[in-house]
Amino acid sequence: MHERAHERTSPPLPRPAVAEAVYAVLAHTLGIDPSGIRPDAELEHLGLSSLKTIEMNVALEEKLGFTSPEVARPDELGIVTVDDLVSHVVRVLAGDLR
Amino acid sequence: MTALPTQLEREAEARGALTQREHERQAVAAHYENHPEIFSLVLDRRLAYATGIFRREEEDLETAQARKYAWIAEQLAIQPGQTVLDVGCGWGSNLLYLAEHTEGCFRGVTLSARQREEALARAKRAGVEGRVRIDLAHVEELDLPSESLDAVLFVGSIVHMHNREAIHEKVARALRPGGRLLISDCFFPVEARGDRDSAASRYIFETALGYCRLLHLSDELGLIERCGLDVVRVEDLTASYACTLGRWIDNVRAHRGRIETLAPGFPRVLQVYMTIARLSFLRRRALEYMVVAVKGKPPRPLAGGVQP
Ligand SMILES: C[S@@+](CC[C@H](N)C(=O)[O-])C[C@H]1O[C@@H](n2cnc3c(N)ncnc32)[C@H](O)[C@@H]1O
Repeated sequence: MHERAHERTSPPLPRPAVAEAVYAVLAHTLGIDPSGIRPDAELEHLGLSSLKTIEMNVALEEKLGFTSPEVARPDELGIVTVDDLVSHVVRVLAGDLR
Repeated sequence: MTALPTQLEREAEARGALTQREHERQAVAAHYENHPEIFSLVLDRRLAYATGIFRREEEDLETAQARKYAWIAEQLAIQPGQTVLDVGCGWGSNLLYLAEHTEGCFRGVTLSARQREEALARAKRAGVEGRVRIDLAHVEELDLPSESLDAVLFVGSIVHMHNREAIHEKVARALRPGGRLLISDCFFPVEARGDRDSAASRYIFETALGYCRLLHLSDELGLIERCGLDVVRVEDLTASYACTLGRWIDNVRAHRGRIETLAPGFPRVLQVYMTIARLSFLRRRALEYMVVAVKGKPPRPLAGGVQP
């Protein structure tokens, strides 16, 4: 399955908006307060198990309208920290990743 | 070698057989009680809720499911007037295909009243309602006279049943000599690959699907043999199931809005559980097999038969 930016005519979301969405989804998935999430926090340390990873990916897909990657661990995509995750989603939405 | 029981299996044992049966009746049915329109948006047109048979990855779902129906029909070789029981018949995928393509007499059983209704409506539309009966029941409570059936199918259903020994005995007794048993379902490899009690496993086996118990293939085959049947065929459909799940997930994506309207939150449940399952099959942490067995002496030589 390939990652594909949604067909869109509007310009891609700016990074702060993506970050806000990612923090909200991550916090909801983990059942924690978004304000407590630091950009350099490692996802694994936040408790992102394989189930939580998949739940988060599907929730991000629902919210942002892209085809989420099929992975059980973020590090399969080289994603370690919260900030890595935001950067990854920004690139997917901009259509830079396929 | 018998698998170490999962946490869910230990819970089932602790409940005792009768309470577990009631638990399955409620917990398993809940998933299938969702609106049939949802499943019609996700599955093939006959609503098979089990793996198809893919020869190439890029084939479409209809082709893969059509191949499975035809393969099952070929394996069961139902003759005019023969009696067939489909345990866990869903919305009638295999049951109605077989009714339309043979002159047998068919009985299906499901835990879901909504599935039964939909399957009966489809039987009527196909003009086979006179030869199709569907019961709303748990297989353990069916009264099956001995040597009354020519074929029994469990397609994607036996995994929902904890009490396997009793069910195999019951079915074997009900088969006539020469009668066929066909099982298509999911198994664990003998050496555990990954944590069978992980949150992801529990999500599929309990949160999404109510109750699931995966045996080792060798244990299931052992139960079948001990009941007096000969296993004549085993096919690995693990890669096919990964493909099937990929198509279903794409369909959830394509119809997320409509499914969400019919059952809020359900698109996410479907996509999450199907993704976990697909990854498990891709990594072969779970395995999908189709098994054919015959009671007594196999009636015809099956070796070298057609490929699925
Ligand atoms: C995944 S669906 C498969 C449906 C169908 N065989 C197919 O391939 O399309 C599982 C089916 O098994 C049924 N089922 C599960 N446990 C059962 C039980 N103990 N007795 C009867 N039906 C059962 C469910 O109600 C559901 O119809």
